[in-house]
Amino acid sequence: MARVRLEKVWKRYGSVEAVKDLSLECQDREFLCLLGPSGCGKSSTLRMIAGLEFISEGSIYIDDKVVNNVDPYKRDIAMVFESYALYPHKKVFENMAYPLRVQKLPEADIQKRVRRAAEILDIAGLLERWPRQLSGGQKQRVAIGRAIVRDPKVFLLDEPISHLDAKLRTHMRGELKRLHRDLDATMIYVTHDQLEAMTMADRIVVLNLGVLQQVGTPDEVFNHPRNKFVAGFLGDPPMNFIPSQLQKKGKGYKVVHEQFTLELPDSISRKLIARQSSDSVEVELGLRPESFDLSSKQPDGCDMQGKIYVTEPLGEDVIIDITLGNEKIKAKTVIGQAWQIDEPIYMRVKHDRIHLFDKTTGESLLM
Amino acid sequence: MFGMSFYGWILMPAVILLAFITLYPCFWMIVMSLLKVSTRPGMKNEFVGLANYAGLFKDSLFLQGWVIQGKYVGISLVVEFILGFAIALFLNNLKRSANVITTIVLVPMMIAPVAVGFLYLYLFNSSFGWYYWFLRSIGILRQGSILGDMNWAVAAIIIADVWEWTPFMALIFLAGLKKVPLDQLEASKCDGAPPIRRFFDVVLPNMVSVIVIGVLIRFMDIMRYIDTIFVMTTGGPAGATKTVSYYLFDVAFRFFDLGRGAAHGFVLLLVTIIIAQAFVNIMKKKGVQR
Amino acid sequence: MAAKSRETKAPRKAAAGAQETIVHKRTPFMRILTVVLLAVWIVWTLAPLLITALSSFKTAREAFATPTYGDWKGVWNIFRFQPTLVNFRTLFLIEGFWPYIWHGFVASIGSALIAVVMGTLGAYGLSRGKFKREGDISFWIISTRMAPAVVVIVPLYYIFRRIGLLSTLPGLIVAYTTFNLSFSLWLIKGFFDDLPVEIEEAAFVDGDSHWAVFTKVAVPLAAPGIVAAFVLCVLMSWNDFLFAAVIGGHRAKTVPVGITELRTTVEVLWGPINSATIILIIPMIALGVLIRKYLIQGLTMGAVRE
Repeated sequence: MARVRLEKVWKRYGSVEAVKDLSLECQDREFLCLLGPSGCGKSSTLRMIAGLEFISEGSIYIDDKVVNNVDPYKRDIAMVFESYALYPHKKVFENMAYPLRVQKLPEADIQKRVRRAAEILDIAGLLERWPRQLSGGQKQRVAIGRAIVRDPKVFLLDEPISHLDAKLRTHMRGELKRLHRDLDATMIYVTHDQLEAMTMADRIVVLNLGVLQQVGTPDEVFNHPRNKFVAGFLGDPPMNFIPSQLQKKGKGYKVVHEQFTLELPDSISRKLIARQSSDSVEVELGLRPESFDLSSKQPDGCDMQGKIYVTEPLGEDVIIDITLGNEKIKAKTVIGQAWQIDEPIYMRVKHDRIHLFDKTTGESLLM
Repeated sequence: MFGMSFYGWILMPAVILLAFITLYPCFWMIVMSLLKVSTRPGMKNEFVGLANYAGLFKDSLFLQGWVIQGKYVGISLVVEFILGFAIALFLNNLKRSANVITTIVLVPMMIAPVAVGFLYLYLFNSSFGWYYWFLRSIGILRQGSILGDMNWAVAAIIIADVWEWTPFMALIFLAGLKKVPLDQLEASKCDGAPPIRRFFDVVLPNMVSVIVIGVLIRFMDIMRYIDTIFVMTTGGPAGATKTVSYYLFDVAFRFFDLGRGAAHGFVLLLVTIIIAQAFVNIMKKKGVQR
Repeated sequence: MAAKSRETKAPRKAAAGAQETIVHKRTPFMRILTVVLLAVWIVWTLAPLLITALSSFKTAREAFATPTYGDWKGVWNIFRFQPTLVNFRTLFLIEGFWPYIWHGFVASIGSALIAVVMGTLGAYGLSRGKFKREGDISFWIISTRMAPAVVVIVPLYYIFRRIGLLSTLPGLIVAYTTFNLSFSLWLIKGFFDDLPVEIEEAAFVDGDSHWAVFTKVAVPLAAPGIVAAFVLCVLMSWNDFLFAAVIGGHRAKTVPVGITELRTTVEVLWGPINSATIILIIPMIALGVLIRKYLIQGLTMGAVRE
């Protein structure tokens, strides 16, 4: 098993910069997720680690050895492709045996290792099938099997389950996490699906437009996003952003919007004192849909009042779209009460769940 | 759906015309092959049973024609396949200039086979042909003429065919190469396969269908065309380039034995179909069809 | 979330396209080899054309000026000449080539028109309709295209002789249609198959008739393919020799037949032959380059696409 380290890595395609000055480290036996939207550079990064893409600048280390100019195969990595990349003219067994055949291992060894991998993945019954006879989930297992037989230092997985249907995806998330534990392997996993990253990763690397946004445990990136992008990318439905004014009020601070005023609790104010000098600044107030207490009658300590635009029931939960002056926000609550469209709705904000971001830079003010 | 009749109606004219110009002649071909067809219109035809077929198999020129045709088809296909594949691989290496170069490469395909025949008839002429001069200059050829020599004449016909149709092979192989899935190539790279192995394990198997189509179409076309032979050698010297296809032209339109010609054509048609079908079956068994 | 999960991987595609990826890594040696071998191939491709094209503007003495064997400097003789139109003049004024060009033009355009009009109708019917023996019809159409021309020509000659179509332009047009119709029918069917049916269904829902949908929606959308089919039909007919020689006879001679008659048992008129060859070749190269995008699809009857 191994550690992977990137140092000031750049990737350029002509004039397009896909990865910009990326430095990060993946610990031994860690499950590291590279997360970001399409075009964020996560796949390019993975492919550079794999050795399938030239590194424009910077260095990549595997176990303290620079591998920039090392062939993929000699890096001792195994890659699982988004499209599975099974060889269509080889049966499942030969697909999985291929990397071993290339190494010219003895037949008995190949048999043993392929069968063991097949058992781990529960595909022992499929070894004599052709790839075209397999379902998407089975193909995906074979692709992982081909990686397992190699017993590589690092597993690289490029959106391995994004082509599966929703139900199978949920199932495979669990399987992959368990596999990681059983193999006790270093895995780097690329995905655009924040749910996959949140559920499986030890640490998440959030990328956008080729730039590193934040590295941290799922809890850190979700609850303490470093900027507006990370805050908005994780969570479903995403965080609400409301442009407002941050004003000093005595020793503390308050957030002022034409529709409401929010007094900030001491825990937050303390973080602000260190960096906030002027009396009033423009900020983006960030509130997750889960951080409201909702009521159709005016409760005590109500923070804001809006009008119900539409409701979206989700079985146990309901998402309520609320108009708040010119803003439209989403709030999530458990189902139960009958919410009427166009009726007023009263919200109390969980004050410790407030996020504040700089209007211009998008940086969090609470770090 | 929207009711069948409209689609049936608009398909009808094409089907009727096609039946008239293909099925009807096909029917006549079989009838004619059993007749001694008169050389002049208006005179009576004579029913001769299978005599035309029997005559064919006693005709040494007919039997020899198969050998020549086999040589011509076999060598042309192999050479065009190898050269075409090589060119496709190299074209696939190009970046910006690929389009221009490819367009230049495919020019010969658009040229009438008759014109190709004359191009090479001129180039191979023993008193002023530039290719003849070149071959003499580098010493491959000692004396005599190209198109007058039994072996060289076959080679010349094949060279003309290779010149015209290698681009066709190259172009469809190039299309095939571009469709080899990149992820499979990358996977084999990760698995540590060296380039040669990658070519045989990933590239070639993914191109089976394209190869079958290319070779098949080329095979059919070599059987179809006699134009270059007509121009360059008219079957000579001493019948050295008289393929079965060309001999059919001789029988039917020089000796005007249409009955024999029909029998000849019918046999040729059957053999073409059988070989093509056999080829498809073999390739299907070897490569995995999708 | 749903929108996100269906994302396409933009950077990956960019990498796979024009960019140099590691799987397609080119060593300097490979680069040089590529350039050298392709250059050799281009010379081999263009040399016959160049030599013939130049010769068509040469007098006989210049055209036959190969040096002694081994005199490599003599290669420049190819380019040493006073351009003259004497060969073209002979071709048109003495050999009377105009009618051949005209016949070839009328026969190929005429046959291509019939083939493409009927082919478009039939292709649309075959593509959109459901027929009981669809597989058989398809097989028949393809096999028609594949049958050796020499085979078809014997019975066709006999039939045409009986009904008096021999040695006439209409006869030649019909003869060309034997290979053009099945070709265009099948090729155009491929183009219709590629169109999304939804657009036509939308037109139906809006109240158009079958005919209106066909002419106003389907045909315009498939137009580039139909034009390509037309051009390929013209190309194949114009280049044909066998049908023209046998069916066209004396009164519907085309350029390929005309050229072969410049070579008699007595003499070979190389000057006019070379100029006629150039006249035969040039328009078709132009047409071929014009529909370059569809060339492979056309010549493989839609089986291979670029």
